[in-house]
Amino acid sequence: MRAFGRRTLLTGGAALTTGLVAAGCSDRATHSTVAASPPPIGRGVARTDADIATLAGGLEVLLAGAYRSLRERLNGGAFGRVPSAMDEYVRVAMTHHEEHVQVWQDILGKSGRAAVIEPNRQMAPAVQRQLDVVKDVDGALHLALGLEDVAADTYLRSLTEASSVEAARTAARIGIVEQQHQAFLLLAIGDYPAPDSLMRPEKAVTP
Amino acid sequence: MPRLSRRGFLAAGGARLVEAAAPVTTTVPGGLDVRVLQTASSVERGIITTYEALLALPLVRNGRPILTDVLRTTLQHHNEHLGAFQAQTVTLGGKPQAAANPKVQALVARGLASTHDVVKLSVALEQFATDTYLFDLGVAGPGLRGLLGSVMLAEAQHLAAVRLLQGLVEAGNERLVAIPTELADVPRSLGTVGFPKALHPLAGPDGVAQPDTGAVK
Repeated sequence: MRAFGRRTLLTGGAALTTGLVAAGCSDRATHSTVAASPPPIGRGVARTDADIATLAGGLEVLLAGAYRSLRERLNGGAFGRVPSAMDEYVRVAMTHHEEHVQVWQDILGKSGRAAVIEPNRQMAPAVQRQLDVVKDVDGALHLALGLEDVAADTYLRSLTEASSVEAARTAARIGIVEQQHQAFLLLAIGDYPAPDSLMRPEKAVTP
Repeated sequence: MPRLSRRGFLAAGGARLVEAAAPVTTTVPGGLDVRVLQTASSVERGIITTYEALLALPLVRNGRPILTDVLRTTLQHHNEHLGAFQAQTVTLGGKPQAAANPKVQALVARGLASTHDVVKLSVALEQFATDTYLFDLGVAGPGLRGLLGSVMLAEAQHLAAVRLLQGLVEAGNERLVAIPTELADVPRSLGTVGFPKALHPLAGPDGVAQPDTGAVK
């Protein structure tokens, strides 16, 4: 087995991923393979921690809703016989994202900012379009992988932009889990579960 | 399969581990960011020497190909992490750390009798690296967060990958211990074994390499 890069491995599901990235990516890079150099992550536009929480909250609402939709369709038999590990993954990933929503709502509450109840506006239409066309387990896996990829990349960017250690660590602690969700999804697709040496926020969404 | 003692493990392929056991200093000059980077380098060096030793073990060399593939790929990543941390150390005017961190070496002090033991050690190593860089995000300057976060997420994915591998091994069906595996046949628990909590826990002091444990004198 060779040490493939994630972007190489994703070509099989690139259509779904590309749709999501086109909707939300701020700085789509041209990297196709990883390199052993520090990733180009800058502290560009100044954002407050409340801005970061608002962005993250909207993304988490979106992901929780997407998994809820997939779960309902899985349970309804729309995808035929579903492997039990896949069924369990969708259930737990949905609850993880619901918990992430609550984490960001708590931070927003402390800052006096309004709670986020709507899914991220940039991403929502594209995700809905993808949900509308998913018709099997493989499509569901690729859609989920694209969403988790965007989320993890967004958290990687956010942790560099956070003002407080608390916000940076919160973004990191959630970003870790989004990255780990991808490991299962990659394995379920049949790919190597940890292909990249250094992560880059290529698909990060900006407010 | 005979149970390998730590001595046996080292004799089988851990010579470089012994070399790397030269203690790193604990009281250091230099800025905090440099010490964070030096300690991160020492963590990577410790993991690299361990994986090199593991790859030399007969139980790995003669075992399932997936184990060799995972260790080899992950080793390559850790070499790249070490290079990135050392390069940034030099950029900040520090001396790059080449020795292994003693806290990583302490994780290796256990017997290795089976593939399961090797995978569990790998889980412990990847967890330690992930937790260390998460801890570092709270002590390093904002300018280091990009690199630390980038490597931390890679370690987190390694951690999930080796947890998944552990889950496949524990399923007790040799046919499933492969990539690709048979998703339809793996246990239900594999869907969650890689990420036991919604929010990755913060480790205590014993679970991380604090910046004074791997800095260059």
